[in-house]
Amino acid sequence: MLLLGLSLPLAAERLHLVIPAGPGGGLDATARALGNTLTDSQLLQGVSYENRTGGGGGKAMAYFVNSGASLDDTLLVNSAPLIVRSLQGLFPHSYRDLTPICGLIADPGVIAVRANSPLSSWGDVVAALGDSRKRLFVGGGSVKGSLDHITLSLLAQADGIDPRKIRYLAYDGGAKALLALMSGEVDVLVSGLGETLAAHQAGTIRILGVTADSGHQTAGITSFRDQNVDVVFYNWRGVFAPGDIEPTDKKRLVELLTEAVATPTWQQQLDRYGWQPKFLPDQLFVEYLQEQERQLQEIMTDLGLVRR
Amino acid sequence: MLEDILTGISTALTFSNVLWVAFGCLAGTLIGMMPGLGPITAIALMIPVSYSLDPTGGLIMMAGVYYGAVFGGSTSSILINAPGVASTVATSFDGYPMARDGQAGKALAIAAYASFFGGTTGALILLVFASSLASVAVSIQSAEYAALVLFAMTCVVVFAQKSERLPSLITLLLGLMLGSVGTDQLGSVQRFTLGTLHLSDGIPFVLVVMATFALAEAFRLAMHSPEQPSGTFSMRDLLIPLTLVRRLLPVAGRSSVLGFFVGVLPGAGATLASFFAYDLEKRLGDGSREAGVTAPESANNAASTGSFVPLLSLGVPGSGTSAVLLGVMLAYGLQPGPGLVSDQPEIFWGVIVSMYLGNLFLLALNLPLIPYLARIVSLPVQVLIPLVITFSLLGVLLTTFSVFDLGLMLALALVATILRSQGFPLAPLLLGFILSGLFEENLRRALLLSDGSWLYLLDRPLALGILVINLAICLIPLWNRKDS
Amino acid sequence: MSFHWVAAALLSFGITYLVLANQIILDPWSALDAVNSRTLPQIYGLMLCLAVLVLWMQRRHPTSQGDRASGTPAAPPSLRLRPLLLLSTLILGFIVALNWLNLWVAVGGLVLGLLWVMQERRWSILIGASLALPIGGFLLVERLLQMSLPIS
Repeated sequence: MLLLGLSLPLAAERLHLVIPAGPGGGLDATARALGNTLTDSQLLQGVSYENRTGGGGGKAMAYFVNSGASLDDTLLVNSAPLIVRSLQGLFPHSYRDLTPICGLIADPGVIAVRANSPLSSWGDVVAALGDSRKRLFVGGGSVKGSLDHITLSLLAQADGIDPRKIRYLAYDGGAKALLALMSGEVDVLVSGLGETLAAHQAGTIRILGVTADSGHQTAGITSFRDQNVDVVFYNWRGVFAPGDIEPTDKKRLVELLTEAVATPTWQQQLDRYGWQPKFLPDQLFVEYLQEQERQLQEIMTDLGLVRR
Repeated sequence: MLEDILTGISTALTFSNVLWVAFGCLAGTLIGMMPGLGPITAIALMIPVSYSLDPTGGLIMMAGVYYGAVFGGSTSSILINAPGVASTVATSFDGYPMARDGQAGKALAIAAYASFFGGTTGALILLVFASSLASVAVSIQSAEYAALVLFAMTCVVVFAQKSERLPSLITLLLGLMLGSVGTDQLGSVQRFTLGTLHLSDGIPFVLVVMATFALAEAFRLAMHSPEQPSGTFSMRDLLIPLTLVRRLLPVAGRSSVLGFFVGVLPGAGATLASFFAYDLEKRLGDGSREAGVTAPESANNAASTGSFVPLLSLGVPGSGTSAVLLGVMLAYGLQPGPGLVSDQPEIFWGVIVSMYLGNLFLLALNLPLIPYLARIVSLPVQVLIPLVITFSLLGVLLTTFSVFDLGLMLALALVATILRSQGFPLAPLLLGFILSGLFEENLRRALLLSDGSWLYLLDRPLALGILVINLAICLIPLWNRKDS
Repeated sequence: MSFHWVAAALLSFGITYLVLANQIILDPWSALDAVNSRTLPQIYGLMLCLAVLVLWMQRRHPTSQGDRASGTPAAPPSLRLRPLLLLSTLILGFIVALNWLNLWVAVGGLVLGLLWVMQERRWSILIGASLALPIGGFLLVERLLQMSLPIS
């Protein structure tokens, strides 16, 4: 291992992944899983990682936008909060300042309750939320106005409930929100499928619905759309190149990643982490981002979150 | 269960696994000693290596990395007053003065033994109670957390020397203020960021600790031209006199049990545990510096073990480090949770047994290194100061990569140096900074849940109890005044 | 520096903090909460101002408390400001230099400068340390741990 570390890999066969979050999180895991796939399947000689934290991902964005031309074979790994934060005006850039290469995976949101909860369906939750005498608390793993809260708001609005009237409690991460549900501090949890599936399968919580497309089937969980609630919302994770990349380089990167997601190694990584694949190359990814931005703009304006 | 434990021992004790745990300990210690790189980074950096191992071997190695990194952090906090992680801050309170007095070897040895004791005691408690402790982890809610954190902050002010109480309160508040910079934990509100992206994620812990502890200490040394610490550094430091052992053993015992149970609480378990253990021994114990090193070291190691409880029994990580470990377990296709104990007992018990091994190897590997490490403090100040400054600057750069942060760090260090020269203690500042987010987040949640009604506390007897003790402690200064 | 200056600085910091705390823009929900994003900072700021004022009063009339001896450590006689200024200037120089120089080159320069300021004059140590640290750091961090260092 020592020797491997000290030898210099060939420059042209390398890829550099910038991660706008610290080690250990979901984005970090995605980047490293992608890197492992690329090297294990011999598509590349080496992949290096860079955890550039700060500014809620804004520092990594600023770096990418400002030094775009000098970045060769460098990709930025990012996820749906990118759109939320640029709509909020937290940082001046948006995905339009980057070149979307592809979407890799997508994690739908879930609504869950304790296994022994009297609320047995999303309908029950809606009824309880609408009843002002019941002080129903909903917990989520991110601050008010970010992804979990927005997922909840989309669902509530679809069923005619004013999202501003919901008592939402923010926790520092999905794991702590999950523990809060188990401890009975909150009655309902809104989170991602990836973070809750294990607890659902272990029988400690019950997932009432998932914001996936209709026909979704994992561990007997039905999508909201199949329960006649028209909300489809994913937290995608994907990769971006700098904004002013050459078309030939872009084509090469899209091809490289198309090859990578077809490998058995990538499939293994998906299975390991329980990720839902959602490969959207190039133009499909751009369209997806546009659609999501429209959806988010609407709900965030209703919530009073978009700063003009 | 005995059968399961034996399975665990036989799994953990294969030749290759023993080799991996030793490798993990060594790598963890080395990474942990670098200022700014803590257990989370150590584990994340070792993930690629773990992919090449089978699940048991990989997890055992990771346990070694974890313990190694925690111990490595104590080394730098004792030797150069630069705790890389929050949980070893309390160790530097007495460990660093010991090192400046030429007792670096002794302090390191005590830290190593205390860590070993805490780690093994923690593993023992985990072994016996693993399955039943899960309910403890989920019985603690925001109100209890808020009360606990308030308690830790009250202790640091009230238990300070009489003339230092007000200065302690002031630096504690400064710490809380520093901690309030950045995006609010509950709403997406920017606070005190002065409109710059650099501050919108808050001020990093490493920056504050390196500025107020390591850099400020280097400045103080440069300004005072202190006496060179004397003392010999030999293997003899490793032999702790029997009388001292007899005195420290109960300290280690109390602190380990305390540490374990605080560690079970998801959140800032190990940090709170080490502060509580330190306070407890300094106020209620004999107050010696040896006890002041023993208590936080046993407590934070026991707490690290305790933080595995929610992970292994509920499948929910209780700390940043166990979140990374959860990622590793999932990557192996293991599902931690209630099912792990029944479905894959060899892995569950293998991990627990490997914790013993991890601690044992840590002791065996690190003890012989201590006399060499201890020599760092015997470097002449004109060499030591440049080294400490360079290490602390690198420590911040390696975690944040930000030049802005270095400037902020320099400014903070200068402020800290001035405050300290006027008799303001800096430990409360660091405590306030570390606990700021945890306090506000939990307090505000508890208030939202209770709708501001005090009756809510009657439903939460534990929180009520802590608050009552808290109030009682606040009365101590008044009591003392009557006495004198 | 005298205590009065420090107290005055702390007080003005507290007041600035309070002013900023009152200007925090609240999100639409928590504006209605009893305890919102402003509340705790406001409490911290107020408590700081009060505590500083009380301490100031106490140290102005030290006799009434009778704990002057331990309360205000008289400024140590050997307090030398020169090294502090030199060290901070060097660190500042290092920070500015990072904008142009490679990190490890800058580290080498920093170590050399720090040693010189601290009156180290042995060439073996000056050269040895300012070469060994950056090279060791480079090998450990960039080669062995494979971390990339995007300084900005």
